Amino acid sequence: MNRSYFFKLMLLSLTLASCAQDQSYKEKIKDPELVQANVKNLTDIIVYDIFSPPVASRVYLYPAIAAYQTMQLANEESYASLSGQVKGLEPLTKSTNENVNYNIASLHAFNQVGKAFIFSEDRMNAFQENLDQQLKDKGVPRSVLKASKKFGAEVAAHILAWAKGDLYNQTRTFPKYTIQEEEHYWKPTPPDYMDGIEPHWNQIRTMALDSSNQFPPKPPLAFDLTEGSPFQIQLKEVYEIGKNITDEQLEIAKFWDCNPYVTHHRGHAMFATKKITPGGHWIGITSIATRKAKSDFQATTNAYANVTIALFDAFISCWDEKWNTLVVRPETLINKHYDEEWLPILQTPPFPEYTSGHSVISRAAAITLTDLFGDNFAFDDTTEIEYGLPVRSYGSFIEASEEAAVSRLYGGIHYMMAIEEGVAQGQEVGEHIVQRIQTFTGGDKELALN
Amino acid sequence: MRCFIVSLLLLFCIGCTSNSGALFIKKTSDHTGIGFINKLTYTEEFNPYTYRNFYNGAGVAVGDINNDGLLDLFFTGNIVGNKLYLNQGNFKFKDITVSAGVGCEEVWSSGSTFVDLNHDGFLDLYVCKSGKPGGAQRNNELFINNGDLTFTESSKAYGLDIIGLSVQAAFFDADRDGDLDCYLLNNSIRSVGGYDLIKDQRTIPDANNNGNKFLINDNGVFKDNSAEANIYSSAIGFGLGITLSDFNNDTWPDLFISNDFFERDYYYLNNQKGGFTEQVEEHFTALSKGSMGADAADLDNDLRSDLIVTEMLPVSLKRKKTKAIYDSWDKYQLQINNGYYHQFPRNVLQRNTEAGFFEISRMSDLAATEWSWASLIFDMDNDGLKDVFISNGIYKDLLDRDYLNHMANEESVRMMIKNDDQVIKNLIDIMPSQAVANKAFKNEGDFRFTDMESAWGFDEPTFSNGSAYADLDNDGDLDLIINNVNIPAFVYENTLDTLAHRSLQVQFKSTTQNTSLIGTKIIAYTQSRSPLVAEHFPSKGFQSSVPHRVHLGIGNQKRIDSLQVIWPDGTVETFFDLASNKLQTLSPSENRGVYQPVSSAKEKLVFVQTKAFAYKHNENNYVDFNRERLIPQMNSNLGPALAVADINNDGIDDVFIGGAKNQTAVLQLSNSDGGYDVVSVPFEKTKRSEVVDAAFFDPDNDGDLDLILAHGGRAFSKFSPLLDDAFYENIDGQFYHRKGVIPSTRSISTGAVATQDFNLDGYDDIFIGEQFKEMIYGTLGDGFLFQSNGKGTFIEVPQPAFKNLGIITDAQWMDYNGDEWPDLVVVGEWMSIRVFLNFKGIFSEVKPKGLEKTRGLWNVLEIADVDGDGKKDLIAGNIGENNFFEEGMKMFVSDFDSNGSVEQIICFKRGEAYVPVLDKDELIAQIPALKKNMVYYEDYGKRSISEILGEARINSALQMEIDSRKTTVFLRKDEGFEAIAIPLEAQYSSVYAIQVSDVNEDGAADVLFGGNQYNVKPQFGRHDASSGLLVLGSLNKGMLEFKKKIFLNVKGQIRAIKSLKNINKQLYIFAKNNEEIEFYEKID
Repeated sequence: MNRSYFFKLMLLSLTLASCAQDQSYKEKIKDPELVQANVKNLTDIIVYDIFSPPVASRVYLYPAIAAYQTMQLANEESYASLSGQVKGLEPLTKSTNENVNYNIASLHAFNQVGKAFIFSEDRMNAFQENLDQQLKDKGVPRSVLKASKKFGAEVAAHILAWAKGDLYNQTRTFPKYTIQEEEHYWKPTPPDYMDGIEPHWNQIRTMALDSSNQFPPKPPLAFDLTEGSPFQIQLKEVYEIGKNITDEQLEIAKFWDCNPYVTHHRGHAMFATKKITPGGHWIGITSIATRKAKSDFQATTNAYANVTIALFDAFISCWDEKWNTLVVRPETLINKHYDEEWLPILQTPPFPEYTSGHSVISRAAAITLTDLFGDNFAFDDTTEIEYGLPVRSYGSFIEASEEAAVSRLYGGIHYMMAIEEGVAQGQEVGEHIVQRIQTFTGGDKELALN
Repeated sequence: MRCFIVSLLLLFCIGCTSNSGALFIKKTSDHTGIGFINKLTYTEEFNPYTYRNFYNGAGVAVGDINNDGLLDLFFTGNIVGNKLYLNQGNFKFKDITVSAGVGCEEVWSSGSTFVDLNHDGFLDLYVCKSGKPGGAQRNNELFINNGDLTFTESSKAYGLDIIGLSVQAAFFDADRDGDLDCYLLNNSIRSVGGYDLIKDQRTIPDANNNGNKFLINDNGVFKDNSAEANIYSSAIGFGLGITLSDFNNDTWPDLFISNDFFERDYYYLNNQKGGFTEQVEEHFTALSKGSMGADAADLDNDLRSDLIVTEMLPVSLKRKKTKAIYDSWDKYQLQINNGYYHQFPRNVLQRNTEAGFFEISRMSDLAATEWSWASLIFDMDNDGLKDVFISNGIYKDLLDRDYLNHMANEESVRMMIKNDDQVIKNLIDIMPSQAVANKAFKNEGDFRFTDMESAWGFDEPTFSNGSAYADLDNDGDLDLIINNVNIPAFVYENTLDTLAHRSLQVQFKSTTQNTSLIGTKIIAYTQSRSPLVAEHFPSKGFQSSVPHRVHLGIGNQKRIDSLQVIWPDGTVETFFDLASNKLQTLSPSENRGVYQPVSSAKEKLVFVQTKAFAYKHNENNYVDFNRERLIPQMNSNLGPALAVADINNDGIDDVFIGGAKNQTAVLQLSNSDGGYDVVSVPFEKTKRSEVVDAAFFDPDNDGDLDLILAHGGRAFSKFSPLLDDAFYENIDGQFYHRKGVIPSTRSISTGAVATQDFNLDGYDDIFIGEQFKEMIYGTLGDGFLFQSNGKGTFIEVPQPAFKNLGIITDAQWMDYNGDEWPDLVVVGEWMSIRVFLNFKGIFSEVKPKGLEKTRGLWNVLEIADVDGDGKKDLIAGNIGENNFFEEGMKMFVSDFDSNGSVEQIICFKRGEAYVPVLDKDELIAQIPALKKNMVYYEDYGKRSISEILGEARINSALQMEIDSRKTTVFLRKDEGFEAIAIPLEAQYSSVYAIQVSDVNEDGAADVLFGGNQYNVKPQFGRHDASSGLLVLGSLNKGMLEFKKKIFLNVKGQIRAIKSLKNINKQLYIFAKNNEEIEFYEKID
């Protein structure tokens, strides 16, 4: 056959194929796995690029809100806009272009915003090309894809303009922490003695909290190394648990380590291990919960928006306390006073001790998830499998958050006071968020799309 | 005769492979018969992660085992066995390892040394063992030479069968009892990390007895005497080099131990009682951090032993940015506070002087030579100046930062969290590997060196470790033998024309137990050059040892007039009229005398410390880097300021000393006893400010002197009223603070004050130079002129010429054009020396001849007529040449990311491009968005600042440049100025204080220089190679020369030096930052 005949045949078959799929693609792009894949990709890039826990919570937040706000435009009966609920976010208006599919636009807005915050753009580009191909394979017409992406990009620009006002860029050049001699103040810790991370994070604009110090925890115990003082008892507890740790405690500590960057030294040779952040772990649990609850595209998008808001505000609240109280890490004191070779099970992260970040953010996230999926939502936590850790099972989100909190004591990086007060702080932040952020308004889900 | 024939043969270049024309020619293994390769293969169980020193490689020992006059070679092998090669002449060698029985198969050998321990005249061989525990003959082995090319292992009988991680041993007679003792460099098995900043670890002996050892020879049996001899044997001594020398010229052998990782080096001075005193902190100001091998020898022929210790700093900026990790300021402080002293990531070249060691590797351009294993100091071209060879290369780039952050982080590392041991090999497989060339530096004199690269034949990329020099063909020059990882060992022939470039080689014979007289020092005197010194200590460099001979290049001298030999027992003997180019064999005779040390100081010390009054400056704790994280060094330690004048008219000078922030300034008023009374109460009013300059002057023309205090520094907000300069009025000898008499429209962080009656109205006026406009480093400060109205207040006289001058640090008045109207000279950082002519009260800038290329980092300016021609000259203190700055560097200043804070990005010039000096992490922390285009260190390493920030943003930035780093004396000529040469020692550190005075009263002006800046980020290293310098002027046919210098002994950061008239004597006051003030007086 000659070439032009072959070409025509190809064209014909392609046209036929697209005609045949013309109506079915709409169902296919309601698949919540599209949302899950987006979030998973962002998590992978966050791990690769290495972000500190508070900064990572910001990288999750804005894409999740972009996705939610886009989705919400097509589902106004069931979901309320976050504009007016989170600080400074202006409302969006629906596109005039009828070709816009809001699910596709939502996915695209998520990735476009994410790309602005991560560093390895080539990885994001590759993911987006792959997503576009998938959408085409599902039969999304070129015009729909084009219009949806265009609108998604507009939303992304809207969200990025809003994000610009959160004082992140300005805080990059705020003064570093000046090390203070007195023993009760935080000091950099082995093995790398890294500078303290984000001493001005409390100046970042909150989402739903009135201010970073809206829920101040009780003050830490008075520094006192006298045998039998309340502080000394807690210090000794960290030391003793470290020395006599049980297999169960060890497993819990490692499971909730969630340290994005741990260096290992062998003489001059070094290597680093990278993992998800504490926030990333709760993003993972959100993924597990939405899948288990068989949440649809919208509900999945909604869950991520709510959890990322809770995590974001919880980090700000916690960091405010950390850099106000400047409590010294147990490793510093134990090495100096009890045992110079004592090493915590986990590498001490580079910021002050009080309160425990994992305790605050885990409780806030757990309360949000409980609000979405109910009490006693049992689940198997498979988040850490790909980082070589086992599966752990919980009867509820709260139970998981309790374990995450106490894991820091087993890990040798926190006193009990930072855990107990951190949980209390997270409880207040979480309750405040679920009260203030009202997204799902309970409309008819069946009508949500189309 | 042999050498002559060999030289002739050389013309035909037998056996040479490459690089014909180069000084050193590598011999092929086909020619030499040496096929040894230190082949290293890692496995899952045994690799650089499981064994710290996996890629340290092995060494070379050279010695004549059969006394045939030809030096034989022993190569150690790590995983492979050792090899012993018998020298058969003409660079032909025969492998006799098996028959000799010294292979040590299946066990990791490290350093080795030939030494005659049974004093039978045949060299025995001691081999150190390391690597994994277990296996046969894991202990260090002593092979006793049977005299027939076979050996008998006898380590147990001698007490030398030590098991551990041994690196090298050195045998020498430490206690002068005639036999050889031993220092064994042994590393603890303890892993590095985690506990590295714990205090007081040094003094605790390793629990498993695996630390360093000092062994004394007790009738042929070696016994551990470490504790008694004060030798550290802790678990943190990760020593890689033993360097023996008589560092303090008392004829007793001293020790320098270079320690890898966090532990600082040890400097053991022989206490002459069988032990040592460790004094590294007393004699050195800066050490290398990951210290490797080292060598000591006299580099400037002043008869003092200088020292070069190697480290791992890469040469190129790209490799610096991708393969080096630097300590943060906070971690560096923690190291100092916990007893680990000042260690920096670079090689060090320690110049040995009467005032201690000065670390001048940066000036000498030896600071960065890649991952270096050892220095060897020997005269490669027989010109009388010893040259430097450095072996380089690590088979795997263990510190590659992209590998660390990204490559080693994929699936394999995730798996490692589950199981630490299953994937290490895969990890190492992907670790980058890049061979680099060894380095040879020709000594040009005055501690200047030229990297000879291909001219001397060392341009081949390699992974070289231990190396040794030896005259293998007895032609009078030193050849070089190098052990490599996974590359055949190198044998380089030195092809020098030894008829024109001659040498003296000496071996020593004795009937004592120290048969080759290890520890002997020779000093050779010839007609045409200063005496040359060499010492006989075979173990040196890295895991290696050189022959039992010493070598001195002597140029074209045919004979040595006299050779002074200081024997190991401390006696001295002189031999006369020795032929060169011939191996001399000398033995002690009955004609030995007692050695009288000769002072090598060319000028005797002129100063002794004295007392006048006490004052301790207390610098406030402020870290500039926490506010401006891109600047390389701080500027918050600029005080104390001094002002000297006779306030109470008693003929004795009084002294004002300014305090740091929160410290009250004081006036020391002389009393009738020749002592001083403190006046401080008036100055409490302004104690919360920082005084950076001060001057006595008479603005009200009432005959007494009033006082102006320049307030500046960094630890203030840009709006702080504490920055306002203070005027103190003198009323009947009492000082009163007059607030508000100097008008101010904004706060000025002052860098300089200069007083003068600029308008010739009889009232002294004030010039104020601004240093940090809006408290930002790099903005252009203004100059301000305040005219006295004669009644105690001042008005500002606007001078457009003084706008946007720069980072002003000093200003002085002089009548440049001789019109009686005082003109002004202003200096500062990143600015040229600027001269402003005073046209009846209006200033305009002139560009005098001789000051064209003077953009520098000036700290201080002094004006005096040094050459006595009646015209005032300029003496300007710059940053000097011993630092990381370079001429041609630029600083770009702008708010590059428009977030409201200004960035200062200092760049090296490379070709036409400007490349940031910053570490990537520092820049990214300041401007995170830049990481987008530079995820990898590799991306950053290759980019210029224009590529990083974009041409447009760079072009719109404020740009400043450096033309000169040198502290300079500019003589005023009929037209403009002319720089005059001063000793290079003035460039060893940054100069912050200058005083001109004819100290030695010879009629020619002398200049005192003082300085140092300690608050520099560790990757650049502090400026600390000065303890005050006196440069002596002399008149040569009426022309002033600055040829002589005397090192003073004023340790610390000198900020002001003033000459001070006391009763019948002249005192010199040295004001140091954060330390007690010191006084000196001249002695005759």
